[in-house]
Amino acid sequence: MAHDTSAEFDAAAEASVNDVSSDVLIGWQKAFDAGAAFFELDVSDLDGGDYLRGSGDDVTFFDAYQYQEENDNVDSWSVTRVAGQIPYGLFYAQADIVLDNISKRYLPGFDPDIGDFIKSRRPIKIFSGLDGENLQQFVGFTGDPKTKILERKTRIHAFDGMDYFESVETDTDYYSEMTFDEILVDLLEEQGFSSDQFNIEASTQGDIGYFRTAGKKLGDIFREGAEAEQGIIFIDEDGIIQFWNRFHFSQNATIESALSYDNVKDYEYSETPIINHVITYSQPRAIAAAQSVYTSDNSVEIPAGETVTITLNFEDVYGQLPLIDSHTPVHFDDVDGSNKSFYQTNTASDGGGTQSEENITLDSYSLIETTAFVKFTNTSGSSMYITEIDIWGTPVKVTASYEREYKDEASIAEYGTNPDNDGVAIEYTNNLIQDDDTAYAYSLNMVAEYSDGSQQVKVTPFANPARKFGDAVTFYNDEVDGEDDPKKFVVIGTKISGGLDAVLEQELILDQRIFVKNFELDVSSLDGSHVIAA
Amino acid sequence: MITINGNTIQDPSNYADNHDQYFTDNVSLGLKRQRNRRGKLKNATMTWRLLTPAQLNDLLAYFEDGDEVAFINTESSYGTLSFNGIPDLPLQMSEYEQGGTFLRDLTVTLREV
Repeated sequence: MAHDTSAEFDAAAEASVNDVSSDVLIGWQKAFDAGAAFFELDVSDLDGGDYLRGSGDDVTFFDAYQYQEENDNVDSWSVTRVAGQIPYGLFYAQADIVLDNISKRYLPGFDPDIGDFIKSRRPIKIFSGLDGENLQQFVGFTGDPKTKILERKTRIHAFDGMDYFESVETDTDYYSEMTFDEILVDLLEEQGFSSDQFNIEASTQGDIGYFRTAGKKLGDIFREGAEAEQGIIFIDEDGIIQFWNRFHFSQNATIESALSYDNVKDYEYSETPIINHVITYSQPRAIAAAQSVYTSDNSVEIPAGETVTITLNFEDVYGQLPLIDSHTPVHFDDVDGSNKSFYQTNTASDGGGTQSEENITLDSYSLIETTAFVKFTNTSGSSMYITEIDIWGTPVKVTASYEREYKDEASIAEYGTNPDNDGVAIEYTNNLIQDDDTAYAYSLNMVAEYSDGSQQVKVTPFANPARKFGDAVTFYNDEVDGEDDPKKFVVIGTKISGGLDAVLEQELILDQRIFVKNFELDVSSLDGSHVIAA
Repeated sequence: MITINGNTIQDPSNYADNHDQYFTDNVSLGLKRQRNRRGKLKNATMTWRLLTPAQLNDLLAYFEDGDEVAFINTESSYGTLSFNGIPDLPLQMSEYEQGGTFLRDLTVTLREV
């Protein structure tokens, strides 16, 4: 949904002449002042302690930093926010800024205030506006500033906050019987985000039986979950973390912009790859009742006076078998109701000798998902044998195997099978797909959306900083569309740039979508709920 | 009267002032025009003719290194025109006039910073 703007801003966007402006703010010191109030125009000092609030209603975590305004030194800036050609999963926005460094302000160690902080990972915000009303376009962290002394320029590349998630792990080992949206919320709250810092749409499938998250980066967790939902996760222009489910684009009926030859400078058509045959596989898991999960089938020698670590690999017919917990083995004689894992000792490898419990000590036992390590020491003067190990634990078992195929015979007849995939079916595996319907929907949606190629248009309109990723727009092409037949698209990519030379440029990547309700010229409101019929 | 860094300088023989305009005109496929205006910066161009070496060096002291200077013209058509500016480089200096006089013309364009 486009930025909220004033009537004056909207008028400026349509006017024959407008005044463009921008703000580039960098928190060089990464200073955090918990006592500061939010920034107020004409009240707060730009270099003061007040936080600049995001242009949306929500306060983002980037608001916690104190920023320096670098506008006087900005030669140019650009922000790119592009989902993949097939927009599922996770994506980043990126920004590039060129700063004038004639004053040497950005030379490391030069400036008394910021010279020690010309480093990477500085929070940065970029705003762009018309007639003095600036709208946030980007929040993120800078990369390493590159300064060329003769050129007198400093160049900075920045990634948005999604980059942060690629480097942090969760403290939660696993989730079970929760929907993906619930898992997302929990993960974000664990990281310290409050509910007004994210917007998580409802999951389109039921509870996930088991989702192991230990040892994974949050970015990978987000990516895996979003792909299973055919949804997207990203950080929007205001710094709000967004999860959009697979229905978001098709149900996003409010047209935010009407593009036509009157306000488009250029455009370029392209087609997405033809996808007409997809097979989706999933083997979801769920936590089963505690049970015996491992029984050794041969004995292990523990030489006299030595320590041996035995590796136990848990497996079932589906391969590696993860456990969420297991009982630490005790000697067979000590098994009781609360501890059912055990080992047997003997002086002979075939168990034909005598038990030797007093000569074998279990030093340690550890479980790492699908593998356990058990360490024994033989305190006697002769070899002893562990003749049996039986582990009792709580496994996470495959609950079903889904293989759902969908193909469009008409498309195959016209184009051949998946011509951009060497003529073979696209096979997709994601074990977070929990049910047969979702597996089928996954295949069907991919084919339905792309069996005839999805028309994408790269449009260069008269720039309007209010436009955002995900906006629903219409584009009326004078050359091919009927008078009352503009097509509906969603914005799956934006690039906006500004500066003294570039002034203000915008590029939108539009992906054509199906309409859901008829729009009537001269009846329906452009900002209303009606959309334009295909 | 024109001052540079607070010091009155010799009146130029020719003088012009204007604004550098920063904008982009966009023209749509349907031939609609929209102008994105970023702003304007003042400039002033001064030409002195037949300067003696001493006069020339007095002026070069302000402009030759390309440093920022404070410019004020109290008699501009804008009223008093005042801005901090840097000169275009290299400075435009004419060839020496005939007759071994060492007289030269100098043109300086200052652009607001």
